[in-house]
Amino acid sequence: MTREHLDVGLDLLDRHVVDRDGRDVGKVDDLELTERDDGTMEITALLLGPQALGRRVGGVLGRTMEGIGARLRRDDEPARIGLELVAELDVVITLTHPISQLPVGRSEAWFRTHVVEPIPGSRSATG
Amino acid sequence: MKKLLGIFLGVFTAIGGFMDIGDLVTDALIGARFGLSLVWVTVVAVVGISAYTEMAARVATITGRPVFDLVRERMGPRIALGNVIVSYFVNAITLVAELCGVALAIELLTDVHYLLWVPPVALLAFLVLWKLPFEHMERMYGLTGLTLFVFVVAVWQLGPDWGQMWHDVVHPTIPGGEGLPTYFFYAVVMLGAQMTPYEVFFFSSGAVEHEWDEGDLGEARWNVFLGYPIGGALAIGIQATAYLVLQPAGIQVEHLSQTVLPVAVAFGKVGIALAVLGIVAATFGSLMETLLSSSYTVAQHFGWPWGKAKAPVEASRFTALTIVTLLLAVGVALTSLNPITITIYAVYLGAATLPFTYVPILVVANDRRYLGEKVNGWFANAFGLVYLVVVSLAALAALPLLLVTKGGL
Amino acid sequence: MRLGDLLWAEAEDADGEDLGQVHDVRLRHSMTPDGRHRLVVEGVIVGAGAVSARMGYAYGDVQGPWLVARLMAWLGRHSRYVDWGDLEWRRDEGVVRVARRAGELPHPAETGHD
Repeated sequence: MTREHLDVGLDLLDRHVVDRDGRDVGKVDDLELTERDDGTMEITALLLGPQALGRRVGGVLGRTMEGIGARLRRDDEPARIGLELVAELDVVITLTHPISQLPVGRSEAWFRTHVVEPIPGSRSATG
Repeated sequence: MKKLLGIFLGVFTAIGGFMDIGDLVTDALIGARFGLSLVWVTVVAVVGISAYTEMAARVATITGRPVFDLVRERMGPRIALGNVIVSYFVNAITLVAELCGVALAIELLTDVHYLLWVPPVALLAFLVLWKLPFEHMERMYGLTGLTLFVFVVAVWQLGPDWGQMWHDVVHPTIPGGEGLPTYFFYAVVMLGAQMTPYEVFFFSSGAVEHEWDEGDLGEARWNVFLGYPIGGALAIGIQATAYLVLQPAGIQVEHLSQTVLPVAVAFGKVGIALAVLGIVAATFGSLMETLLSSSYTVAQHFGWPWGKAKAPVEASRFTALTIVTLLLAVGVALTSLNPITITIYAVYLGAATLPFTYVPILVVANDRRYLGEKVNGWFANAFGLVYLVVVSLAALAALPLLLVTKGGL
Repeated sequence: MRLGDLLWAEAEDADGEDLGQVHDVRLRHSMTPDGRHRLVVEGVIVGAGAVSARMGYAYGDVQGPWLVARLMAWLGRHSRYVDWGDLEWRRDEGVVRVARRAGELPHPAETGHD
């Protein structure tokens, strides 16, 4: 249930984001703003990852984070999830698609392929 | 019957919070130096950690998310990031201490140098992480750790003057030759050892790993309100044995063997075997808890998939971080820095950072958006606030005391 | 443009008085006919007491412990709500210029945040 009025800091930023199947995607590290022709300002996308979070944190640490993020993604812009991909805005933000179909999750995928998968037994859940 | 077993096993996990290497060393050390004059700190710690773990458990069972997950939402990215960095650092140092602790305990049994045991113990930790189900992991050290009760039984066996003991507990005195700052330094150290941050993180993340929901809140509360006092009793037992055997003889605790000495006096070889077995089990359990807690906090802050129960490929960054942390701990342990010193510093740093751990819990436990009607009542808030003041005072006093006493000399 | 750039911008009123920093942005939520979420910026919240606002005390759903809530409300007493139409965001300077005077601006709690 989304309320009619939301305060970004309280209700949107730093919220947990999951995909359609409930898998963890990340946190809302920042939000993209777009100005319409009539002068209104709208939120148009969620921004995720160190490039987004680093800018908000600021300082030396923040800039380092932005740098690491840019190098990993080979892109100057942070990972972006358009607002049209958001199914529910609640205590947790749920997306409309599974993570494999979304432009996020690259670092998780990289670690999976290059670090974790090669270790035997990495596919079994211990419960 | 199964339900009963379930409750008991959760209780044993809570007991473990008072039985890691930090506790084992500080209880004996303090008992040897200050007798029973700091038992009141244990009592204070039991109440405090019970109050906060209950809040963390309530948050986890009702929201389905562990407390640290929510810290970022409530405290903002900068404070939360600072919190994560500090927590990871403290957890990592504690991990080194636990790793050395298990190795030292095995050395007591085998006479093989502890450093040689560090890599095999780390490997075992990895295997437990990789293969052993969460519940089995908890049960394993819960049940074997019960042998630590030999310390409590040893108190009886040593035939103490109960009246004198009671008097010393309620009339704390500073032994001749010890200063007031040193007394308070060790009070802070003990508080840090017993209100360990990782315990709360682990309990609330564990509740989510178990997929506990509101119906399990009752069981979680049993674990807390039964487990912690029993753990506290064990801790007092160790202090008491040190008071009865080590203090009169003027023996200081500089090595794990001295912790066990009183039990040797009471029960001989059998006592030593039981005590050491208990130490190995309890410390290994704490090793797993600390290892997981360091990764839990980082993963939950950044929103990564996390969980020991999941297949490693389902939580790759979490898994990679856990492995790296374990390897780093082995590396530091192998530099052969004095493990007792590492332990004291780990515990002390934990104490200095307690407010960082507890403030967000109190805030989240009062937020209706997460807990609805189940927010803290005035009772929980009263305790929460009092303890926040207590741990803040301890944290503020920590650095001055460290400097004045030159690290508790 | 990022929302993170708007947060913490310095705000000043029509007389040039310092209003503090922007520490939150109020949105109006609606659903488009084809079922998508729409979030339009309605206004900003400025003023001292960012810590208390952040933790949800100044105008959120955190109410206890009673003593802390009172303290936080007191810290957040200078918060003001500014309508988006009443301000000019100078992104390059990191400054927000409000077309009204401080005294005319309501406290965020008065603006019917549900």
